Amino acid sequence: MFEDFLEDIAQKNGLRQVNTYLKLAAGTGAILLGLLSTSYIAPLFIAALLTFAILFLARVDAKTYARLFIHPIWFASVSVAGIVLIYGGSTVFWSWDPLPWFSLSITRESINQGFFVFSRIVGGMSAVCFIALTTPMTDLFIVMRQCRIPDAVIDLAMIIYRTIFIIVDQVQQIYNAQVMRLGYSTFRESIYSFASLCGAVFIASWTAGEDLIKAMEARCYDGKFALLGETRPVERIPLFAVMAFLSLSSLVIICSGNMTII
Amino acid sequence: MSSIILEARGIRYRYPRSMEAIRGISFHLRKGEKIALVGPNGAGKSTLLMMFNGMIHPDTGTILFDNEPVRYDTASLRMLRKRVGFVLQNPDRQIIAPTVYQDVAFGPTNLGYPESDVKKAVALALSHVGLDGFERRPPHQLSGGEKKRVAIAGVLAMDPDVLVFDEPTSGLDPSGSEDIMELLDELNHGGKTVIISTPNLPTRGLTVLSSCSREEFSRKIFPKWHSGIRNLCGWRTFLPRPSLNYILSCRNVVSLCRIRNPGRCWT
Repeated sequence: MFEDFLEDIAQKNGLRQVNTYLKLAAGTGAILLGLLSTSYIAPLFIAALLTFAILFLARVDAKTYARLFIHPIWFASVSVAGIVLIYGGSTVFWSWDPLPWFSLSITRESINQGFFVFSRIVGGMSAVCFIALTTPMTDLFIVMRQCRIPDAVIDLAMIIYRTIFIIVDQVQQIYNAQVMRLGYSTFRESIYSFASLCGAVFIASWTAGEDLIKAMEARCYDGKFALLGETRPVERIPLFAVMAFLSLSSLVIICSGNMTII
Repeated sequence: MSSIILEARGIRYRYPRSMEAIRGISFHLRKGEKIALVGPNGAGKSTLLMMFNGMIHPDTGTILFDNEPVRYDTASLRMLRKRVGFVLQNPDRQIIAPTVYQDVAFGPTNLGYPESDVKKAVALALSHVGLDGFERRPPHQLSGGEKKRVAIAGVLAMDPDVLVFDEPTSGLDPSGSEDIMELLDELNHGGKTVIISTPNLPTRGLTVLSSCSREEFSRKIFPKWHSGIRNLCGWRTFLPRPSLNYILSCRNVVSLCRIRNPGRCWT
């Protein structure tokens, strides 16, 4: 399953041993810089650098990375198309008034704005992918505790994280059992199979929850959850690399100013 | 002879709106023993095992730990569960934390150990089960055998006197089963009292029964049918129906008792 897939990549990626704070600084810094930029160049520059880092430093498979981008890009394309058509502007290339009170137009400003939004989405997505593919949740829990997020929230997050994989596994097994018995061969059958899948998974989650309580009680649960508090040291090369990346991106933002595509 | 550590006296238990799972079982377990509870699926083995650490309260009868009746208040249960470690049949149901370290540290942390002691307990438990270096691994990336070991380490980290295993080799391949049974042997030789449940005596039972030969086993356990036993797989025929009927002493294999009638044992 895809959830398993992402977490597995994060656990085995080439930047696994780099300090978590450095990776988060690079990822969140990239998102903030993308939002601060007023030109399409900086977000694309950030996306290019982070993509390089993901593919060649974290050694994530290019196909996997591309697959991660497909859905957001589709979503972004639809949104950008809407922006381009309704944003308006003074230099009109094409316009159409289907209703007296509603008009569609493609203008220089709308194209610039659409491309700018699109580049921001690409930049932001690559930053989110960078964090997701290089920083496993298990490392993020440590950061969350160090950031003094309430223990109850972290404990709950950890239990949910652990349970997701058990439930996903259950879903997969039930789904396979249904497919093997032609459960999805017709539309009607699919509806019925999906409904019974949901019911079975609900019961399985309920049982898993009860077992979880038993397992915790059997080990004297007293409201405490351990965390491996060690974070990896900040090493010089990754630190300089992150600083260089953020500085360079800031420089690109300043230099590119309000540059537009047309 | 070592002293009795765990004892069941006239235990009966019925699940709500269901059939009676356990009917009047009495037996005892001595310190340092290794016992297999043998019976088919649905016999009530797991139900009985869960009474040993207070997870299930018998309807009638008494469970004694260290010659003291088990009390069911929170403080007493904590103490009991610290001393009687329970490893569930399905490790996925036992492993609750997102990393191996966190799961093994769960018990010691909740027992209030200082962090340095928790780290020591985890390192020792992981090294005992042969999982050094697995601290940061998430459980879903482990194999079935490794998960089982993590579950065992989670219990070992609390340093219990008695280790209760519910079907410890279920779902494992022969090599994985062998490894787990060897680990149980080691723990037993290290002084832990071990009780396991299994429905599958011929393969797993014989692995546990390392102290006696196949011939000796069949002669001692099934004296009445000894001459007719050529293949131990035939043991199933001796189990009359799905109810908890037999308990086998694995360390010094001498007796097969009908639990419903403890006085009647073949030796």
